Amino acid sequence: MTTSKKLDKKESSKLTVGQGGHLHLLTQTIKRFSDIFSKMGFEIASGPEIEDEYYNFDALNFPKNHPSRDMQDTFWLKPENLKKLLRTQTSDVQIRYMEENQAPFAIIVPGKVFRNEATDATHDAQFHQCEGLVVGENITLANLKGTLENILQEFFGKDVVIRLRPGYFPFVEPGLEVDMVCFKCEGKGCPSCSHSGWIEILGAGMVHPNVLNAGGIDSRKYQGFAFGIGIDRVIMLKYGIDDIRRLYSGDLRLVNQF
Amino acid sequence: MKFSYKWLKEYFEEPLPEIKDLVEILTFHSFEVEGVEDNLIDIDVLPNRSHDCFCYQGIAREISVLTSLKLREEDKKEIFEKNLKSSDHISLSVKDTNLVFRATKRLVQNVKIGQSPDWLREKLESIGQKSINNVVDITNYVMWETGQPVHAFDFDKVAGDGLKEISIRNAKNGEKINTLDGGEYELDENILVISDSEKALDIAGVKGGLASGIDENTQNIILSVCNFNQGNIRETSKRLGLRTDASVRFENGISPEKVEEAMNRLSELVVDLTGGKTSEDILDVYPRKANLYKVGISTQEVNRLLGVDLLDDDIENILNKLDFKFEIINPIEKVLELAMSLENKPYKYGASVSYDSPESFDCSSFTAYLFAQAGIAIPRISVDQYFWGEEISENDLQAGDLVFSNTKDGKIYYETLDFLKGSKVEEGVDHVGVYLGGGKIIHSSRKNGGPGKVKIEELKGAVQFKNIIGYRRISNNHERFVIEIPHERLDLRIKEDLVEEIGRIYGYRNIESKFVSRVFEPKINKTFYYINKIKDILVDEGFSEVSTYTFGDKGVVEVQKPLASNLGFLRINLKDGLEKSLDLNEKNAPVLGLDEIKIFEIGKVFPSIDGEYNVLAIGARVVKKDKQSDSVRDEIIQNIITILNKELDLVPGLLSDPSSKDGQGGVFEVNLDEMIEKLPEPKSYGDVFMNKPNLGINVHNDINVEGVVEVSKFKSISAYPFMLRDIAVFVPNEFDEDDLLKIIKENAGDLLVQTKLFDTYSPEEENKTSYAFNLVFQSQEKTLTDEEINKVMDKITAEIELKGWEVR
Repeated sequence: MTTSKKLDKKESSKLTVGQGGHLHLLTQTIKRFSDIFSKMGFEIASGPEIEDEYYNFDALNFPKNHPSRDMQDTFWLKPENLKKLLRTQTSDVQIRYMEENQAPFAIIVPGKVFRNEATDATHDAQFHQCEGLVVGENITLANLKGTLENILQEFFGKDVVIRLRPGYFPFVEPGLEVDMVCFKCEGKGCPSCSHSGWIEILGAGMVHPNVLNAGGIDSRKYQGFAFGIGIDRVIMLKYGIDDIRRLYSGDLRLVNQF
Repeated sequence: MKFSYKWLKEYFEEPLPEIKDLVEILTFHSFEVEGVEDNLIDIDVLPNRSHDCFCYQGIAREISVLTSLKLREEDKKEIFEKNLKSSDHISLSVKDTNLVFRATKRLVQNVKIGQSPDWLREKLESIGQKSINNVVDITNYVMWETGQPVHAFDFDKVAGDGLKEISIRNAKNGEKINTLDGGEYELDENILVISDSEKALDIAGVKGGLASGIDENTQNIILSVCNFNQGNIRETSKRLGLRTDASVRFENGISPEKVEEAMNRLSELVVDLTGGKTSEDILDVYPRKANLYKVGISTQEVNRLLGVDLLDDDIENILNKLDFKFEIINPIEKVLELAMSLENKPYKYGASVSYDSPESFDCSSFTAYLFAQAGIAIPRISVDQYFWGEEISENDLQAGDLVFSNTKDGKIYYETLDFLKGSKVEEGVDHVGVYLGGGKIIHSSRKNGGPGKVKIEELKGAVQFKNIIGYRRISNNHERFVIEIPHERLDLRIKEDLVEEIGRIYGYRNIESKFVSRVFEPKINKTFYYINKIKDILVDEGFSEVSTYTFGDKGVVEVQKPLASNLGFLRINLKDGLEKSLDLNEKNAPVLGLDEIKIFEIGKVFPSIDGEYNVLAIGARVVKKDKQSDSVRDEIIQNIITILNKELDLVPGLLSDPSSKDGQGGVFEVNLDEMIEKLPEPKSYGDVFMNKPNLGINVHNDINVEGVVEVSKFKSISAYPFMLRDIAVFVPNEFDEDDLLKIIKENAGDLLVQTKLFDTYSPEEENKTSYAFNLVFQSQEKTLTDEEINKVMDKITAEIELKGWEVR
């Protein structure tokens, strides 16, 4: 007599990758940031993906003729007269949240955003952002710096080195770009960082008074900071993924690696 | 924009820092440098500085600020020809002053067209510009140097025997023009042209016309420097599909004051390099010249926003470094002094602070102007000023406070228009004046005699203040820096802009990080909580999460300009994306080591333009097809529905009735928002942020016990087909399948990408067991051949047999 047994799930998973399920890296990463931020006292806010021109641009202090409102950057939806679009940033939720809530507050907004630009290994028509906004009576740029350092160290490790340099986004003033020492070359300079040793990781700044005003918050009394982390970019850097489009390919050869 | 280091050096007396140091200084204080190649520094000028830094002068000025190196001073030469007047030969008119902010023309006679001198050719060539002839090269050069596009027309090709009548007008619908680059464009009435009495000479702000172009026979030229409405140029450029170095600069917005600087530089170079004679006069149409902006800031305001402890001296030093003109004032003193000096200035309803002050005012432009000059930006309209100021009582009234009234005559405002728009002011406001002390008020009103004027009178008894509704304090009279903003800095308009200037010069790296403590009690996001809880349950049950595209070829909500014809709609379900994912993963099942593909996605669908909602879709497929596979698949779906119902403690059947036919065909889809609404509010995020490594739920997968981040890196996915082989081996019972697998792996090399034990068999009363493995081979570099794999298999077999084990 011979015995031939079917392997159950447990045994097979012991062998190689096995049959276990995996959270997508997008979810893992958004959860990780959400966890870190909520432990620091941030609320997780959300908003719609189809947005009005007002929330996506006007209220965020985009000049009326700002180039990014153009067709090539924004997915405008039909019919044209409704002025509806797919949000190009999760910053729209800044205004929606301020309209409904009183200062002080601290929120993050992880979510999907869309840009109408040619796709390649580092650009896709859809990607994810994690917006942050803190408003209070004495929230300063020094607080912004401290918060970002803290977050990035939690996420990337204690030895992470960042630098702040001038940047421009219509909804903040002063505006900042934040770089991290390049993952690949550790600051020596390599093709991934255009030989600068640094990699741009997020945009940030102090909330523009016009934005507070649009959200119904008195800019004489309150001020704050905002930042936006590109989730996909962070994932690509952290895990060494070569093409952003893999994240949306529905391909388990990516998902099941992590 | 790429800047030649050599060219930049010429703006300085002293040597510049080395490129690498310059790059560092610019990056930390001004702009990122994208790269350096052959002494060309690629500077990523920020959009808010494109007004003044998209040119050599701008970057040189910036470097001078950052390094304290002095800019070389140019001697001003008298270059014009006495008695030669442009106005004798040309006339200039502008049809729409909303589209043309400034236009200048100047005649140069007897030019010699020829090659440019070496220095000019080298400069242009160093930044990839082709040298054409001296005049064209000069116009090109002046644009790169000043940021102001300039142009030259051949005078003799412009229509008109006596006076050449040049106008800037809207094109006629269907009007055609041939441009210098050989293009032909059909224009419409929204497009501006520079025109003579017969034809368009130039698409204004975008491209010069062929008909009036400079050639080797040109003798007399008209220099042309203008400033256009940036929105209009952007529209034109878009409409014609013609983006030029000039149009980009106009789109960014340039100060109209630059026109004059550029015209002077252009004239000087043309005279110098062509031997031409230029006119005494410049035809200059400049209908509305703006006042220089004044913006004020106090040390305390800088420190409050940046979180630093700068002293007055620090601020003063930085402002000096920036070469800004400024004064340190007590605002109220300034307001009072200035107010008195403006007595009797005429009233003008809707007067603009930028353009009409200090020649005419209405009531609130008067107060807005006074405080702007004192470095305090207050709203423009009286009702907003009333809302904005600090409330004080009549008893506390001091000189410099604002007094508001409701004249009950004309338009009375009951809510704010600009500041915190819509805030209610029930008393109603329509008039404001500045209290001067001693019972006197100064205000601008149409009722102050004649057509109206600025008048000082006793507050008591003043007709316009019969019905006072309140008093407001604007300033505590603390010292402020009031900066006169240089005309080219269109980006500096409010005090926060100055904080940025001060912050970046001070250096963000010198700002000490401060931790921010909890500012409030955050609420729990219910949707976020349940979406993640459901994901965890699914992963626990062996489902993997995928993310697919929002765009597809069918749906209800349509994109105006899709990226591709099959991506014109927003999805109405997740099913279609999931089916594609199932197909793909089924094909790769051997590489994945899977018998069943079990996936899910949670995402938004768009059944209407304002009806988006979250959907959960679950898909399953059995890889090996047989009679049972469809029912096995449906069972997987039914099973997971049952588990979700149970785990979420749903009313039975809320998610889906297990006896229903939902999910047949391998994909189940449900409106998640609707379902979550019926679930209880979570009290905390609790377990959704917990790590469950055994389930593959890796919120903290990257942090080891010591708290050090360790990241597993992505292994690239091969684009080449995989090959399958099976192997079955009898192994003595003192060994097991792991020992066998070890030998297989050791000898298979990198090409073996997946293994799966699919059968074991132990013959009775024999001390051995057979283990059968699927082996999957794949290369990252090429399509594998049978021979290559056979070789690998031979090697594995040989090693196993060496052990004395029997390969079946």
